[in-house]
Amino acid sequence: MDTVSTLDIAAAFTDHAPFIGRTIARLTGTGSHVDDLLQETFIVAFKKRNTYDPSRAELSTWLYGIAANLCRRHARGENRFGNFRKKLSAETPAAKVTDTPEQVFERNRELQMVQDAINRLPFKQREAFVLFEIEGMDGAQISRLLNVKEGTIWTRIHHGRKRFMEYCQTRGRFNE
Amino acid sequence: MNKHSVISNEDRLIHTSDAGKSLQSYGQETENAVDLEKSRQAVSRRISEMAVDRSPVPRRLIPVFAAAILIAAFGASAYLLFGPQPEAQVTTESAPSKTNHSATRARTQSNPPATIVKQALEEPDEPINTAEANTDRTAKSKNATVPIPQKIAEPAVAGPNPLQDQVMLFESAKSALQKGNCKETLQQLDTLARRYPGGILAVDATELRARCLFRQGRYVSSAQAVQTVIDRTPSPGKKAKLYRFMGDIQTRLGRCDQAAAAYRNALGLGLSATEEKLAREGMQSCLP
Repeated sequence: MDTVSTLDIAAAFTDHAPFIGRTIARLTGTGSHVDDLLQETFIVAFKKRNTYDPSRAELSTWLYGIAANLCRRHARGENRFGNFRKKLSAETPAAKVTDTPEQVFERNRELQMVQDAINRLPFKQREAFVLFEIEGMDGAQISRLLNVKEGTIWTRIHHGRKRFMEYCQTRGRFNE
Repeated sequence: MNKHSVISNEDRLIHTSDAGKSLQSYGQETENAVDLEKSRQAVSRRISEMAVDRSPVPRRLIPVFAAAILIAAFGASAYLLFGPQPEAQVTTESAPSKTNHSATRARTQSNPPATIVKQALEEPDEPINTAEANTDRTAKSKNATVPIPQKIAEPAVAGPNPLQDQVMLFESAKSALQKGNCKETLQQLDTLARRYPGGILAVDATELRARCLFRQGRYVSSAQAVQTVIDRTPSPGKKAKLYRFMGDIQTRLGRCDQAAAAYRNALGLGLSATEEKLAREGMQSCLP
């Protein structure tokens, strides 16, 4: 027990920021807001560091909870002002130098469709889907991270996958 | 487990032939979607700004406080300018009322505001017995092994950024302890206590001092310091850790009863798995 402060934010950032950052990007879509949300997560964690109780939850769970709440709030804002904001700051992923314009176009279209399909999922299904399918975590790990029963996680993954595939198929992708 | 079967690793969409390619491409694209170094710098900058700008009044309440002060000042000015003092004096002297306000009248006649102000200006201030005050302070400092001020006081040295100075002193003491240099840690903590008696980091500094004293083998002083920190720590999780530390100190002192009580307190408040194991081992070592 050699730690002096209740929570070392710098160490927490080093350990958990990569995971939190890419999860935010997958839950809300890429863009400059991802950096903002990641920073906000650790600022909130710093402000609330005295309320963190390691005996009740793992640090990753606690930090993910903060990030998920910020993502939900961001999603609500997107629903209200999203189209307007998208027009103002449309960002496309950086293309490889060797790609032809057609390849770049096709790749961007594919990525945009995946992001749209994910964004259309209800938030709880979205986080379960992203953590399982893209992050590669298993049900037990997600259950510990979200502090939810494992059975509930599998239910969310199931519905998330179903909706994801339905959306993609309506867009003419992935044959049934 | 559930009505929906558990999906095996091979059945993930990302491993299928149709959706897999898109999902893999999407996963790679979002893998490095954030500039970690930039975010790290931004977070540390904002945290240091927050530490320096911390004010005793929440920012959103500052306008309310300002308005209250303005209203109070306006009211006081109005009272002084248009208050009832001259009329009250004239009324009571020239035409005494028959109503039952004798106490009010007596107060007004004997001590009208102008008279009170005049008396206050004429009366000399009470002499302060400096010798007595100094003796009292010396006695207190002799009794206290670890300096813990009771309330937050103004810093003795007014620097441009006192809070930043406190944080820097504390951080340097902390890093010295991490390097194993207890002497330097104690020097830094003494400087912190001397410059900012009862500063915002007083409790944290005391905990750091306790750990340093423990490493130096000064267990009695360390136990006193830890007890002080426990008394001032509201968080149960933090308190549990401190109790476990107290148990370790008491074990070193050979006070098994007190060590067992401290471990029991720690376990009652809830510890992490590792801490709990250590506390139980400590308790076992104390048992005959």
